[in-house]
Amino acid sequence: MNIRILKLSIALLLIMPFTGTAQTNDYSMRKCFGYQRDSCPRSENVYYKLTDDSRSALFVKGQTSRVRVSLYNGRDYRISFCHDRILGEGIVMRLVDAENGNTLYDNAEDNYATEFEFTVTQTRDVYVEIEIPGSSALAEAENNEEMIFVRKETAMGCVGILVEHMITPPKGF
Amino acid sequence: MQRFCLSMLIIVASLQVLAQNCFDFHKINCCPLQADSYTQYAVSSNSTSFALKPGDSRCIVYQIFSGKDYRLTICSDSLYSGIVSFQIRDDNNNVLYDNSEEDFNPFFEFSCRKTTHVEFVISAPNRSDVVPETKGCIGLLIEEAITPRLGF
Repeated sequence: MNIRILKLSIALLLIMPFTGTAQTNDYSMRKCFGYQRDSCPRSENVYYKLTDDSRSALFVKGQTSRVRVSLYNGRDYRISFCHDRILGEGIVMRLVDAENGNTLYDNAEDNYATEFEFTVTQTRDVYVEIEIPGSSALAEAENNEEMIFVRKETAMGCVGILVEHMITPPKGF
Repeated sequence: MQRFCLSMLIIVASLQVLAQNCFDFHKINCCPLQADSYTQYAVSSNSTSFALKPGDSRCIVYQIFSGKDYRLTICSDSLYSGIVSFQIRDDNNNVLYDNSEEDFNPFFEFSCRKTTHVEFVISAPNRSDVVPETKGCIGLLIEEAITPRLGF
């Protein structure tokens, strides 16, 4: 019995170092991971719940990126975003219909509001698109496959989007 | 026998002294600028130090990989006062970067988009006021990191 325990202990000691090396070395994910949860203010309405579509990512100036979100009939949604100051102001958030590409909402027409609340009357997928104003060599290099390297950007920052939802409250008697 | 051993010891010791003139110069003297907080650099084993006479150049062939960030730091001893020319050239000898256009900036950071071989050409400035055989130490610190992922 004692020999069994000893063998098991040795086996565990040999395996344990490898569990450490299995960790990701994607440092960008570590830095922005959970940014939306820690930095973006939640709705004051306690009935809103956070969805798994909420996420964060690293951005540079001039970059645009989007994430697909499913919106369900009979629910209210609040989509908001927050960002590191280094990215500046005037960040654009759009909701784009995933089926036909129509822009359903553009905060540039809403004084660059950082949140948008709405009721869904038809289940559909949309893209939540974030566009950082300005320009950067990295963002421009995305369209140039011939470039061997591009000067590193120092103005990088996290952007987090919060997607909250709740059952649409019934109205009337 | 004792004389022989003593002679060998003196020869080996003197060789060690010569070899240590610039040995690990880059590790001690090349201090990189602080990186953004999203990039974790590791020193490449290809970092090197060497002795150069004024007006001489050293060419280092280096493979860079797509998806990696590189940070280069040049340092030199007082003979060159930090004015060291640094160029990056491609396989066709095209100059991709030249720090002489940036007041001999000793730092350069870039994201690699295409795996390829490049040449780092380091040139020491001419000095007419020193003994011709004088050499100064120059260090090239190369650091690598995974390119941070951008966007969702």
